[in-house]
Amino acid sequence: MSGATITGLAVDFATKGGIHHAVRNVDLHAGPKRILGLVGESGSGKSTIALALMGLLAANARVTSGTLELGADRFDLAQPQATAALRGRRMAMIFQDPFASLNPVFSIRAHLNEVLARRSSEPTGEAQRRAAIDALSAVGIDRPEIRLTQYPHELSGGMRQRVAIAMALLARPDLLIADEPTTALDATVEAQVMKEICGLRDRIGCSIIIITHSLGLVAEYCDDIAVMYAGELVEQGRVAAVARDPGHPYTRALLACEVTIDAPRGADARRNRFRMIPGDLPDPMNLPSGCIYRTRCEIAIADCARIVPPPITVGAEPDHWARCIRVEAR
Amino acid sequence: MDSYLSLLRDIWRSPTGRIGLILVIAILLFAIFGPALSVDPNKIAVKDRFQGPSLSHLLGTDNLGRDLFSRTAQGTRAALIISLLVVALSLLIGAIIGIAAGMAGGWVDRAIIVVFDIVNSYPAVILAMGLVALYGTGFGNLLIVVTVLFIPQFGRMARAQTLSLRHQPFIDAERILGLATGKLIWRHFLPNVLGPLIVLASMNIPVVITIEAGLSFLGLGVQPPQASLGTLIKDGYTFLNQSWWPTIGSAATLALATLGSTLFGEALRDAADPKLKGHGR
Amino acid sequence: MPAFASYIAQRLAAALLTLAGAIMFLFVIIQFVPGDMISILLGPRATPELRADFAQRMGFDRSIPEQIWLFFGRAVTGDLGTDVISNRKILDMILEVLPNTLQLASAGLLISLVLGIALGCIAALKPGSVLDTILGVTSVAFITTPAFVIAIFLLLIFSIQLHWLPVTGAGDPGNPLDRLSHIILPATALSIGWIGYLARLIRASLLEVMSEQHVRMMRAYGVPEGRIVRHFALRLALVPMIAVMGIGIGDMISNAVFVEIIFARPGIGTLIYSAILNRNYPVVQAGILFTVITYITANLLVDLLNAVLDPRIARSLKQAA
Repeated sequence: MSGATITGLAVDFATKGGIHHAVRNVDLHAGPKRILGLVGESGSGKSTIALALMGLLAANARVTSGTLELGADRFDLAQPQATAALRGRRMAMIFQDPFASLNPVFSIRAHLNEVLARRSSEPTGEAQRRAAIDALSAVGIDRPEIRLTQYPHELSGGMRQRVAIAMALLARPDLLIADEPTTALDATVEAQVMKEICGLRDRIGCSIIIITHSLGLVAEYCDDIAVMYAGELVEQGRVAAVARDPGHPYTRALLACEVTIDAPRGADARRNRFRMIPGDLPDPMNLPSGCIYRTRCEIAIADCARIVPPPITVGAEPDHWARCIRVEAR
Repeated sequence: MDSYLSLLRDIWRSPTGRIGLILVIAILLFAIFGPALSVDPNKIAVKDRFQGPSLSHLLGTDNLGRDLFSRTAQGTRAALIISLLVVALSLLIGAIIGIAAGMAGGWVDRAIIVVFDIVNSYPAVILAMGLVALYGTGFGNLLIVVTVLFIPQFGRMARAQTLSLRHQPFIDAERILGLATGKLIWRHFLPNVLGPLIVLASMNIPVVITIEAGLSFLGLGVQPPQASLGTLIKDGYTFLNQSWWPTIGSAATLALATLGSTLFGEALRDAADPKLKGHGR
Repeated sequence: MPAFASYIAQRLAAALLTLAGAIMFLFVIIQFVPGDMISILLGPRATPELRADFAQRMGFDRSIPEQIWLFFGRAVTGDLGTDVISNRKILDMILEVLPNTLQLASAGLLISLVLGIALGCIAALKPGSVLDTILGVTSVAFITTPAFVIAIFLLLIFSIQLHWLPVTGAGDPGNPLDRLSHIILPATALSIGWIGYLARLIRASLLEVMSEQHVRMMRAYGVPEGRIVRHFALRLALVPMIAVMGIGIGDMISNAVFVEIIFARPGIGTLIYSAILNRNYPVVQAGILFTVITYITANLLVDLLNAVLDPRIARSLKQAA
């Protein structure tokens, strides 16, 4: 396993109002045995990236460019069905709503068997069964033999998400994408599920991309972070580095907006003042020229309208970059 | 009045609803004005039997030379009158029983539900046939029998609505303010219950038309010389070997009537569904 | 699986209770018929001796609760009386023609299931296509046209005009092929309305299922699309269909009466009908009783099928952290 690198990913949507460039020129790197947190507001394009990688985009969407390097192999994402053969083998996905991820009329065993069947021909039923039981135990599900015969409605949300993780475990992918895996779960269950996802990373050594809108989750569990804004990747780097020294104004604003529950109440909180980022997301049909963020940026200058900022290294870390021409001025 | 007009407008907007509305209006016009426009439906002229459509006989003639256009119009009229009466009666009676069941609760409620279940445990036509066989044919009996068939449906819906309304806070508020039960029912329950019942009624009209036609076809419904679409089809069927015409006109009218009222009923249901309303009212 | 067994027991008990209620209802409505009870039940042809014997056997001189008891007793033991006209046991008369009706209804059910589901799937997999639109329009026509009208038209076109298929009867009992040719048209007439209904239902259901997250999950794990549709999606999409099958069977039984009469097939429908015309009330009563038994049994089977297909029904919800 040597990680997944995505280069130059661009996705267009055909809508009634015209072509919507939902994702533009995105470069991502998810290192082996590392968890990359992909954060952004709703509509920033995070889920679109995930679906584009898996080849599961809707009919009106098209990948216009992009390559995926998985280990030693390259895949041209603009080709239809480019990654179809990888699904269930070298790539896997966990979805957001655990209550909708499993087919209600099929047992847990049926779900796990489907992954096993795809993986390689496990000859006997007993070997399959053992593999399924081991996978369920590995993700912390109690009494796995009984759970196998049960149906999704007999399991709680947290358990169903663990089943999804068990499926990923059985698939042994090189790249696992988890689309907001804990958004529908409450805080204590979230901790348990995230623990299993981290366990997955350690057990198989895969790269994991977690899509989330929660900076707290990223700070707690992820190794690297990538920040999306309105379809563009504006910053990427190790979590510690970005948290300590954000290079992009948007990242800075996001971090400033975070309210920590258990921190002593600062002056702002006492006055019930919460930080917000003024302005709105740009109109997708009418994107601003140059830097995508300049209409809401505090430090924008005239050049920001003329130049589309390239990735510029931030600080001393080699893999920490931000798309801002005024990185130095931070 | 406004909301009724907007309902009609919504129905007109949907393509199937439009077809349904047109068909319903056409059938209504046919039933209302048809007999007046044509020859005496009971005039027998055996020498003219089995003629195809012509200027003097728009739908041809039957085995006794009677004009099929006027007979079909009469039959349509009968079908509409019966179906509207049946639906109105079963709606009313069902509503009363259903609201009573919902309000009373306890064993009264359970007993009523059991009765509904028993009536529903019989396939509709079979029960109708049995009742007519025992109590005799004729317009009045037909009306009663078919009404009985539909009371459980309306009753159940009225009861369900009543049950869900009963526990709403605003009902409690009205009670606290001292509103009598009778006024409570009249002012609050009935309007809320009537809406869905009327939609159900419109969806049941084609079913009643079909059942009436079926029973008449078997000779257990409307009796000659009164014409019903069912009896016309039956006559046509008997002489199928000799001529198509008696069958086709009445069968087609029946099919169009049921099609039109079904499409209209479905469009009405969709238009009245508050969940689909996006008008921001 | 104790939960499943208890569900079956529950449903069985409910069915038996409903049956008891239906029999009770039959008893009650007979009480209110105007006129002399014995004449009604035996018809005008009965001799005085027969009437006296009948009165004694039926217990018309006893109290109402005793009569109810006798009524139930006879129904349960299958003593439905003797036909006054043909002097045969009514039970035998019914059992002789019941297989015909069951065959017809089963054939109709089978055809409508196969074609209805198939058409619904095709429409769902290519929504908005020409085929889908055509199916949408014709399905409404199928649903709304009364079954007996369809039966007459089929008879007209295929038997009378084209002479492809026989007109009347059920065919020679010993010859399966002959019986098949006699059952095709009536079964088709019976099935058409239901085909339209099922096609619409399955289309909507399958479309909805295909848009759900678990289908995307299967795709994400590389399961071939064909397998997803045939194995996973269809099974879930069929669940709402089972719920309406009970009513559908009731409709089919009702329509079978018409179809049997139109195609002159011997069966319960024609039996009841001719009995009505002849004022042969014992036969009418017995026939209706059998129809109700069939209906309730069919509903019970549908309930059980529902529990098998949808594990959420029988199993209780057991939450675990």
